[in-house]
Amino acid sequence: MGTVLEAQGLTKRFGGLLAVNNLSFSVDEGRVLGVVGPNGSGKTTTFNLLTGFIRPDFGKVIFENHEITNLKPHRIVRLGVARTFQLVRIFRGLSVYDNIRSAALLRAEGALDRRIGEILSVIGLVDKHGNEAGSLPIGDLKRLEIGRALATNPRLLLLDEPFSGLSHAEVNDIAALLRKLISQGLTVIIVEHVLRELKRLAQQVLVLDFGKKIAEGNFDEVISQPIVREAYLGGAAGA
Amino acid sequence: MIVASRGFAGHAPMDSRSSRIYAMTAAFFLLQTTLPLLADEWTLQIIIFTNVFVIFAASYDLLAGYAGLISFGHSLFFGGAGYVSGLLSLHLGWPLLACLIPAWITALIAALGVGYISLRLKGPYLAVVTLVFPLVLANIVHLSPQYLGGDDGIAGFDLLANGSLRIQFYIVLFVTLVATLAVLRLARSDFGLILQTVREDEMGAESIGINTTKYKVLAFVISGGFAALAGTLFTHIIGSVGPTTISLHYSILPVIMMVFGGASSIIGSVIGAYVITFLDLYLQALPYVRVLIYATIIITVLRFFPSGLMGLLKKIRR
Repeated sequence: MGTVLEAQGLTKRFGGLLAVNNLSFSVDEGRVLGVVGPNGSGKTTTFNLLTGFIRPDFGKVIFENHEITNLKPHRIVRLGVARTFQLVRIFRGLSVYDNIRSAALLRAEGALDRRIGEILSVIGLVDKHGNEAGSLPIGDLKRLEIGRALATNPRLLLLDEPFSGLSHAEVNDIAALLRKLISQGLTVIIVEHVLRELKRLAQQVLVLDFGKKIAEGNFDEVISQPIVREAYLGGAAGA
Repeated sequence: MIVASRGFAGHAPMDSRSSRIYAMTAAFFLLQTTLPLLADEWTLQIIIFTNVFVIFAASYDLLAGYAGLISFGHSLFFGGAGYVSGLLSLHLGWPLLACLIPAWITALIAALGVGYISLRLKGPYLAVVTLVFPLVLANIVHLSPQYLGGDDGIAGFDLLANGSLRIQFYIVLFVTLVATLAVLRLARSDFGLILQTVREDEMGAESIGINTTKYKVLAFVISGGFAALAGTLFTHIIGSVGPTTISLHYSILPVIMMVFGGASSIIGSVIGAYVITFLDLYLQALPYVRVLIYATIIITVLRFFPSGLMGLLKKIRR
């Protein structure tokens, strides 16, 4: 099992704020890495650094042995890294079908419509394919965004808080969808606050605090570490 | 709400709807071939101008409606290209076609430049920046009475079809038919879909592998090119080109036409071009009232039916 993605010493400063500080980690093929940390710990910035939306001040990103550090986002997607956003960035004025189609165009191998049909059935939105995306409830939007990312045929999928803002039932829906994708061998990195779900999805976890990696490894071991509890729950954690 | 969707899994395929729209558009223009037999010269003249503005407005919709990039400076391409071909014809005496081609190429290069410069801008910021370019050209013209005709403009160059109204009518009709079908085809293809993703969410578009820079510049170049086509026809029909042709008036016209008819529908802009050009010609004698009426139209449309006439029709059909 080879390394799919490797971050080496990623550093990003916004003015006086060190958003990501000398961060290194890697993900192996077919594995799921969870990234956790309190608000403002640099999780989303890390995602933006990995996907080219922000350029790092220092450090490298290597995807399948190619350095992708300073590539534009669309180039990185073409290499096989897709992502979703914390606040969904769906094309709200377009139909569900067109949302998927616009992404599937990237790899129109063979019948485009069949591919779109497959994606719609995976995300469970076949019946709503003609609906305006902006009219969908948040759970559907999240699934649509995941489907749109899948339509680019990624080998690595980055999910930024896929469960945020969802009801309990919607969380279960998305979790089931993600388990299905993971079982098919997709490599995934998930930023998530809902630890209960993350635990069931991710084999490894990476904890960030103030842009620095403070712990890494097996989910249960990492989460029980005092430094992690401190970062997450504040000073009272030890009490 | 159900929105337009392409064909999928046995549902009404978009292709049949598209071909109906192409056929209706073609029929609309082909029916006009009988007009020279029926209409007087004045009406014919108005229809010629209207069709020129159909090219201008329909292609503007690709940029502003589909890609969401509002330009308030398209008179740069419309009038600028008119100046280039008029000057070439006047000073070098080249045959008309030889003057038109360099004019179009100049406009395409200008559109590439404007598109590239304005890349990082959206919404009102883009609109304001694009507003500046024709003003710069107008100042250059103003400062150069000797070569560019200054405030009086230039005249006395070759007319389209040597001024034969009927032949002009048929040439413009044919060009408008081809241009409108081409714009429709672009709009309803995956290219049009990609432009819309750029309008809807640029980061989202980048995240699915779309080179948004490329498509934004392309949208500028295509709409600028068609604006130049319209502008050169216009110039060689009226036989003169002056600062008015690069004024704000001709930048705003395609905007009003698009807004009135309904953005990102192309057909809406075609209808808008018809209504507004007729209005514009009849209101020419009342320049101040004209501005008031346009303002009223824009405000009324944006307030009560923001998706224009086409949006209103869709709502009624539902």
